[in-house]
Amino acid sequence: MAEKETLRERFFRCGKLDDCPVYDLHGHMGPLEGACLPRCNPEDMIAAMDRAGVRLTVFCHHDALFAPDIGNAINLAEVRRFPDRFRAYCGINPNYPDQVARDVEMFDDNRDAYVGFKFLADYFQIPITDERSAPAWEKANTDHLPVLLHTWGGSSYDGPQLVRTCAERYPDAQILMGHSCHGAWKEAAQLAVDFANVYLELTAVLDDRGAVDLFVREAGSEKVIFGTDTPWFNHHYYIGALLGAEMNDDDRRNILYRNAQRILGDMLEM
Amino acid sequence: MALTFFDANVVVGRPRKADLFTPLATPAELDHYLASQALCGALVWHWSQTETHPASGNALVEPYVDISRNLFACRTLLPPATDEPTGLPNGLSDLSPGAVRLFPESHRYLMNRVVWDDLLDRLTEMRVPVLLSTEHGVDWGRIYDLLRDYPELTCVICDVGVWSMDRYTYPLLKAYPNVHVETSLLALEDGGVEEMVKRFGAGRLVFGTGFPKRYAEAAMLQLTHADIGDADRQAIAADNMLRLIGGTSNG
Repeated sequence: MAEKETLRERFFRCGKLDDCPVYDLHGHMGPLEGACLPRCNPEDMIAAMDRAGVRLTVFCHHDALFAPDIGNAINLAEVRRFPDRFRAYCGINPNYPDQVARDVEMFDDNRDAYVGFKFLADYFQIPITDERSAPAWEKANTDHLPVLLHTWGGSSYDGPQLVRTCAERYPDAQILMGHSCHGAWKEAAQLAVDFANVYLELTAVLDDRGAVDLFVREAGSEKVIFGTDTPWFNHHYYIGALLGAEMNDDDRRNILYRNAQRILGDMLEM
Repeated sequence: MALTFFDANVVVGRPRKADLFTPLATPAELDHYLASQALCGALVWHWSQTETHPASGNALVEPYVDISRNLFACRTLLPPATDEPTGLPNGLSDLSPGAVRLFPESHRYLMNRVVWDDLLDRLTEMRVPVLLSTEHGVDWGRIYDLLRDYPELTCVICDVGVWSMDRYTYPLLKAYPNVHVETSLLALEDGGVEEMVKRFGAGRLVFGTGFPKRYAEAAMLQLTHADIGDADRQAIAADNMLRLIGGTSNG
């Protein structure tokens, strides 16, 4: 009888489903200056992942993003402690071009841990199109790697027009628009329509009813990626939002795991 | 365990500015929402209470109220100094059973004893819950000011924000025994509900969704599978808010 039940019925009853795993492609780790995060160490994050059936989280540690003196070493260390549950984005802070060059140069030596790059342009206040980020973009373009961008509507650092420029300039990089140009929902959906290499990512989207419905309607569920900013946001909250949105269960499966499996591909086997 | 949910945070009517979400524009649409989510009831407010005037807003929310079916109104007051009508023909007695929402930003007043005088003392005595939404113009400084002057007020802080607000809420929960937190955005914080229950007890949380602006299923699925005991889960889902406003889960 189980196959006749909807995902909604089964998630409410079971909390997690073996045949509908979750891949979270927008994660972080560790404490944060602006918020108390009760489950921010990797062990607690894994316990939370287990409760919701999250098979893998791809993250960039807060220290790697916000403390240039610590850098990406912490990402590598945590993936290697829990290689079955985590992969990392190599954090890129173009305020320090010497560090960007070293991080890109070291990328291939750490392919067991890295899947791509993470940019946080609004925080670093350097546009995603800036030359200082180019080494990472070029590496992603050559190797067809994911680049998780923080994107926000109206931003002069990572708004929709700048994403369009990057999508044209680096057509083989897999551009994950973190937060889907928050607020500029229609422009974000149009970017996913216009470019095969641009995806809509759902962190900070699912607390606004209607946006993901629009994405699926306009761009198709094959262009929508599940992410939660974990350990910020709760997996069940986000899964519940998808269960309430206007789409079918096939769309939900695309978003929860199929698209991530396709994008990560061979990197899941490393 | 089958949970019974009562939604303490539902807004009805059409907002001034259209958004992506479909509003609950009629009592029939509210009924459909309750049925589709198998809710045992709801505490509702109307957009016009903040976007127009409390008098028109309080009148517009009335058609949605049916106490026999656990549909309660969250009505709105203004400070007493200007003697403005607020659409409550029987005065404060119209507030119970039910609750109050205050909108100090859109209605342009401060939240302290100079402004509210003994009006909030009377709400305190009546144990009418006062809902304060950080999404609708109640900043944390105002909440701290209000509770400093009315420390026994029964208060529910709603829509606590998309970032963890624990550094704001914990001191209030510790200092003021009648402060509660509504879960529509607390549920978004990973571990937020669990940590608050552990520190302050389940009695300080009330379930809400923020529907139709947010997906009801989001906070519902979070609470359904939260890492807390079943008795605590049911208390949060419905029992706590029904106790505060004087309703029952049987309608």
